[in-house]
This record gives sequence, structure tokens and C-alpha cells, in this order.
Amino acid sequence: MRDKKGLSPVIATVLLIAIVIVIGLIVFLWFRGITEEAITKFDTNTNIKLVCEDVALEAGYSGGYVHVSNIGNVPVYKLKAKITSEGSYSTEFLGDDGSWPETGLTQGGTYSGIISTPGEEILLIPVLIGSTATGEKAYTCEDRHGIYVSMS
Amino acid sequence: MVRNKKAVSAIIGYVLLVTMGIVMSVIVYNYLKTYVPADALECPGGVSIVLKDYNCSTNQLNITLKNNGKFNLAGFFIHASNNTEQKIATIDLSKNLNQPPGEIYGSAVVVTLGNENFMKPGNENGYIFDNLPPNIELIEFIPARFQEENNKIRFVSCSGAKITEKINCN
Repeated sequence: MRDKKGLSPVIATVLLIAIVIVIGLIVFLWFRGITEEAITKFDTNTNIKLVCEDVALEAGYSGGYVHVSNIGNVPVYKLKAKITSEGSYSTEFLGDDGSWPETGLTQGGTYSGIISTPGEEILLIPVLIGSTATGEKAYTCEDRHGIYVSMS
Repeated sequence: MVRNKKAVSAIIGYVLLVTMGIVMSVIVYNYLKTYVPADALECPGGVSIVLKDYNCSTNQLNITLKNNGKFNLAGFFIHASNNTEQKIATIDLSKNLNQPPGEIYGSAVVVTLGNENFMKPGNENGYIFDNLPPNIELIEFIPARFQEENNKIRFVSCSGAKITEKINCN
């Protein structure tokens, strides 16, 4: 009985330390994730996820070319194009061939470029640049912030 | 001795607890405050612009714009299209502006440089654009103005007041 009682506190202590270390690690990673993931934009330090709501683009498609105009006040760094065809989709960035404006689509900026991938519909999703504690970082907005362009 | 030790331990416990609470709340506050929505940059509802007349001749376009809204304007973005199938005008004509009158500010045309809205309601301003691409059929204007937002002057595109006109520039 004595031997058994002697073993139990050691195991308990080891378990306790192990649990504390694991919980501490989880909490540390969670907090680190929170502080690093906050990408903000503008002087107002608005979270970039909210800025995505203010993006205003107009787009059209004709003769193999996609035409985009930034009519709003949020500069768009890049545009991710999700080209949907029957049963599948492919993704590419507009202007990957070097035709994309160097500064992105600023206020009043426009772009016309060829889309080589055939499909039925394009979803243009804005990619924005924001600030983090470690510097500038690109953020791809959610699909719901994109605009659909018919390719037919 | 045992009593003393217990008393010290309780104080340290409280201090640690309060410190951890403060540190955690600071971290959570700094994270959550980025989610407080800021007012989007927008022009007032009464902004309006109209293309009063235009004249095309040998790769040159003369336009007269009138501010028929209720607010002063700084200038406008001008885009054109020379393809009948293309519904979005993507040719930026600000680069073709024959100055003066007008100055280029970013990719916009403004009356004069400086953070002022010089196009007053009722004002008419003429501009000349040279070296145009051929067969311009569509022209689009988005008025723009300087506005004070968060104690800073910002150049705001008034997308809600955009106008599109079909023209014939062959």
C-alpha cells in the first residue's frame, strides 16, 4: 500500500506539469495568432476584413478580355479570378503576365487583360494590402466580397 | 511560520491574478478595437455632374462639364471605351489632358492643384484631351472631391454620381 501511495504523487505531479505545459502552449499559440492576424488599413486602423466591405469595383467581359474599374476609394492590390466552368473551377491572378498595374488599382484605376482559361463565369475577389506588427501583408477578401462576371 | 507563508502566498496570488487579467484585457482590447467599423469614405448624396457638350476633332476631344449638384467638386475621373461590346470604360483619358485648363491629380483631372473643391455648383469647366485612341464610343465621368475625414483631407471618388455618355469620336 505504501509503495502504491508513493508512486501516485509522482505520476500526479508529472501529469499536472504536462497538462500545465500543454495548456500554456495552447494559450500562447492562441494569443500569438490573435496579435499577428490583425491586419489593419488606413489611419483609422480598421480591420482589413471590414475594409473589404467598402471595395467598389465594376467589371465586364468581352472578346476574351476582362475589364475592371475601381470606382471606389479602397485601393485594390490584386484581383484573384476564380473561373468557373462545368463541374470545376480554376484560380488565377489578373495580370500575372505583367500587365497588372504596378501600384494596383488605385482610386479611378482601370485594367483590361486577357483571360486564357475558358469558363462560364468569373468571380473577381479583391486582394488588399494592410499593415501588421511585422509589416505590410496582403489579405484576400472573402468570396462574398467578390463580383461575378459572366463569360458568355 | 505556516500562517506567515500562507498570507504572503495569497497576496502574490492576487497580484498575479490582477496582472494577468490586465494583460489579457489589453491584448483583447487592442485586437477587438480593429473590428470597430469606421465610416466609409463617401460623398454626400447631392453630388452631381453633367456633360454639357463635347466636340471631337482630329484625335482631340473638347468637353464642357457642369456641376449641377449641391456640393463643390475638385474634379473627376474620366474613362473611355472604343469597343461597342465593352460595357466598362477602361481607357484612362486623364493622361491625355491638354493642360491647362485642368491639372492631373493621381488618375483624376482637377481644376487646380491644392486640396480645394474649385468646381462650385452651377460652374461650367472646359477641358481638352489630345492624342485620343481611335473610335471612342463611350465616355464615363466619376466626380471627385476633397473631404475632411478624421481630421485629414482625403480625395474621395463619388462613385454614386457616375455618369456614362455615348459619344461619336471617329
